[in-house]
Amino acid sequence: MDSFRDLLARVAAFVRRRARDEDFERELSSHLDLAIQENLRRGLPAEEARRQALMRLGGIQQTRELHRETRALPFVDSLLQDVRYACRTLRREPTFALAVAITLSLGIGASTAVFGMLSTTLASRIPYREPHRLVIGGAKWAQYPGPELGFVSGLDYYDYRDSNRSFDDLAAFLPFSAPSTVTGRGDAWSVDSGQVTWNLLHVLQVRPAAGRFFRPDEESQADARVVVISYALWQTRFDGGADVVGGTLVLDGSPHTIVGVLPRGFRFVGVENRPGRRANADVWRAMARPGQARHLHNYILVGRLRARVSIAQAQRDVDAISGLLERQYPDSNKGKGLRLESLQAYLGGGVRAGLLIPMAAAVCLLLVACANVAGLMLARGERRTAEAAMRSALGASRSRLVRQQLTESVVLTVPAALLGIIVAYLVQRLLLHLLPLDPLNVTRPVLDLPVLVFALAVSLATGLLVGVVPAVRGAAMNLLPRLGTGRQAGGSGHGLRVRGVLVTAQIAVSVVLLVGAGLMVRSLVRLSAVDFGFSVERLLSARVEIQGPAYRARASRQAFFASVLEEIRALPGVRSAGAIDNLPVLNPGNTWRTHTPDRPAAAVEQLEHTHLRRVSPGYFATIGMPVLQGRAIGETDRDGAPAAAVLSESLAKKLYPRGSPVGRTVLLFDNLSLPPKDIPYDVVGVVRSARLAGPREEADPAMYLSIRQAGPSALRIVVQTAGEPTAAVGSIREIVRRHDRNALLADFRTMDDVVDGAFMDFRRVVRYLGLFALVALLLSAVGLYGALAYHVSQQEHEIGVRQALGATRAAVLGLVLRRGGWLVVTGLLLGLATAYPGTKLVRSLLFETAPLDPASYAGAALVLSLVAAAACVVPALRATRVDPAVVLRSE
Amino acid sequence: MTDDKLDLVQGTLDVMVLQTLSAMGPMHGYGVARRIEQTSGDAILLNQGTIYASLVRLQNRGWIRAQWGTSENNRKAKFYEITRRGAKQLASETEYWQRLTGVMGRVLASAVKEGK
Repeated sequence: MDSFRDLLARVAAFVRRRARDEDFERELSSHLDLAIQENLRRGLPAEEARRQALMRLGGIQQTRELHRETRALPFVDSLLQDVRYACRTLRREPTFALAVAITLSLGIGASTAVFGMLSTTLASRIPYREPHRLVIGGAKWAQYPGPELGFVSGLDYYDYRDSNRSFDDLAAFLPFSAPSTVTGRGDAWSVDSGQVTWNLLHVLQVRPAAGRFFRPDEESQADARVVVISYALWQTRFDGGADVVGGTLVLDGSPHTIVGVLPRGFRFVGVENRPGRRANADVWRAMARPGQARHLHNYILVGRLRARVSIAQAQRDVDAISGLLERQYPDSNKGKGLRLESLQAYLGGGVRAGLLIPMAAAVCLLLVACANVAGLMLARGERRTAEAAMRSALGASRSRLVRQQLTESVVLTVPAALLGIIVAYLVQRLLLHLLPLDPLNVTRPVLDLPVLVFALAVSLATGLLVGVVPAVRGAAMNLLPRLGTGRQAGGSGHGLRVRGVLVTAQIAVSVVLLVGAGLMVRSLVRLSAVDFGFSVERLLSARVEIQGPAYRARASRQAFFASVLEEIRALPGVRSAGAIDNLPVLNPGNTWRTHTPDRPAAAVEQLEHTHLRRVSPGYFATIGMPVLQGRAIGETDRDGAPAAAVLSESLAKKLYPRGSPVGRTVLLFDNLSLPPKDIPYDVVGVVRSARLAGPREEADPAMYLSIRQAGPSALRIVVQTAGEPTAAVGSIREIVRRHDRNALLADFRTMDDVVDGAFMDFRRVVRYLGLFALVALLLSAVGLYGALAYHVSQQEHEIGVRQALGATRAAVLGLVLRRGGWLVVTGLLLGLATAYPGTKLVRSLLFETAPLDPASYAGAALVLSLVAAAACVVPALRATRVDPAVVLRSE
Repeated sequence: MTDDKLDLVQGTLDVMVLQTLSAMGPMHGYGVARRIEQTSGDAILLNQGTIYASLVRLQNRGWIRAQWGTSENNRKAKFYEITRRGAKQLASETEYWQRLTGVMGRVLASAVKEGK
């Protein structure tokens, strides 16, 4: 109670310290008056009376300080004093303050930015109520033990939903959105449509903006023909009109009733975390129960746990259900289970992994910046030893001097923190471009309170970190001999050693970043040089899709595409044209299994993997894939003729290692039919292998069938032009429209762009790693330069003496360069040694580049040596210009 | 430092100040200092300045209060006065010190005897 009262009184005294000071001054002077009066009465002379009064008091200044300390908050008091002092000194050295602020702000900014992203993804920021109760569920198979979430069969889902005791509700969704064509509202246009169970919004606790979501009875109809549309679609295509609910949307040729609109900004997070590959749709259909089968696996589940039910409890619950299903349906459900995971963790996982590299790079940058600033502070501390000695002689204790030094370095970081926040904003904008953060609803830079607190904490920590070295060194120094030396204190060996260590560490960190960037650049070069196996120049592609009763017959669909392609080929400037169901690289497609009749395979797992593509006559010629044996898919491969297949060279070698496969049979294993069966095809030719799924995949085994022996309603046309490919867009559009106004023509892309897009993610990593490495390199160069320049200025005297004794310029140059060379070589070796374990982070991204790729290491070493040499030469040259006469005279 | 003068044990000065104010009524800082020096028979080494730290401490705890007034020779001076809480505190401190000195005296006396 009394101590609390004491504290209050102290705070009050601290707040009103000026008034209290004045009050005490008056009291002091009255005390002295009284004492002097008494001494005079005792007969002392005036001068002696005063002297004795002061002596008995014990010093005016001491009494003042004692009073202040007792009455208020001495720590805060002296802290304020230190802060004021620090501000004053820094105002006198604005360049120093600015250099420190800029250097530190880079490190603070970068780490704050990454922290902001991390904290946002870690904190429950998925945009649904009580996100911690949301779980995602996927199939797990006994024979494929992996962490992946497999797709769940529709019928299994209903059993899980109806028998569990752990979920408030359990929904399912199709993890891909599929393009659908909308007709009847002007030109046909494409819209992404998704399929979900009627209870999805209930699980997510979201209400529609208008109308309703699906009803339970719509699940039991084979085709309820009702849709819910996104807010964005409502605004852009329906002008946000209130009459949208109840309106009609002709989707893929059949009219659907719009029953509701999703709330603004609603995003449904799908399974794929990559850009452009998530289940975000503008039109939603209800998943229908009829037509589902145990062996058709298409769905991912999302559920809301009951209150106070843990994921582990829910997992036990669904495991029991899986056991029952296994016993009940041994044919389809053997070894099949359901794996549950927190939705938050699931969605965050990929993003966090993506943030690891920038995080590591940012921390490296921060370290380099700290080392730099610590070096600067150290040099400054040495310059100010005389001042420290003076303060110490005037009664400042060592701990007081250390505290003052620390305060100063913390004060220094305040502008750095402010600048750092700006840097953080910029870095975050960069990261948003680089990383797919939008599934977590992170769409703009995050600079909220926790992030600002983090920036502040990092700054404070950096301040202490960079201050502690010079402060402790200053305190450990015997200051007495420095007192009164007007000359700068001679560079102590110890101080130079500490700086040397700092510079070495900086160089090492820069080397690590450089090696990382180098490996990535090398991979990028290799990737860009990849031969896709088809040509990419002067090729234009577009998606064409038809629907409606006019195309119910397969022959009519075939006729449509044949006629369109025919007319496109006749266009001036068009060399050839063809079509394919899944464009290489852009649409990776699924893989199938295949084998031959003379090699009866025992198990499905032993069959060869293959891509499956359906192509039109003229496709191979158009995309530039040479036919190596036999012939290409041609006009004659139509319904009624024997089923024809063209194999990629790689598949041909696997199926028929000896001799030509042309004229022989391949069997395509169709596991979608029940029971699975083999479909035979006659091999008519072999084409060169191509990378279908992207630059990283080996030239894929592929099987090409004829579209005339199938009836797809959607294809990508591929057109080879004589000139600029995009020039043909207008006339192609005209042709398609003339054939059918309701045919969809969308997504024109040159093959160049398609291939380019495959490198996009990679380029981004290269870019930010390169950026961080560059900044770190610059900072190290500055640090090295600073250390050497300082070294030279400290050794001016010695250099002068040497020169006076006859040392040549070359000898002096060598002296400084040797010192710099040592630092560089040590740092370089250290960096190269650290780089190898450090490359773990980027290893999975490397392409045809060994983690120990000599060129990357040599390149990093070379770049660093060049920059370091430049940083060394300037101070070395300065050393040669030392005038012995001037230096010696100044002694 | 003169050897025959006593250094003050931590906390004792506060008790002396309280006792002085309790016995003498309102006094200014100089008066308190002089009074302590006189009653101790100049046996205590006192920097008079430390009186002011003690006065602030006691004031912060609410055991004394201060007021500007006029001194005996017509000068402005700050006068300190013990409060009721201060008097209570003094009573308990006095008891403590008496017990402590009693115990110390007995312990030391026996030690002296055994030493002989």
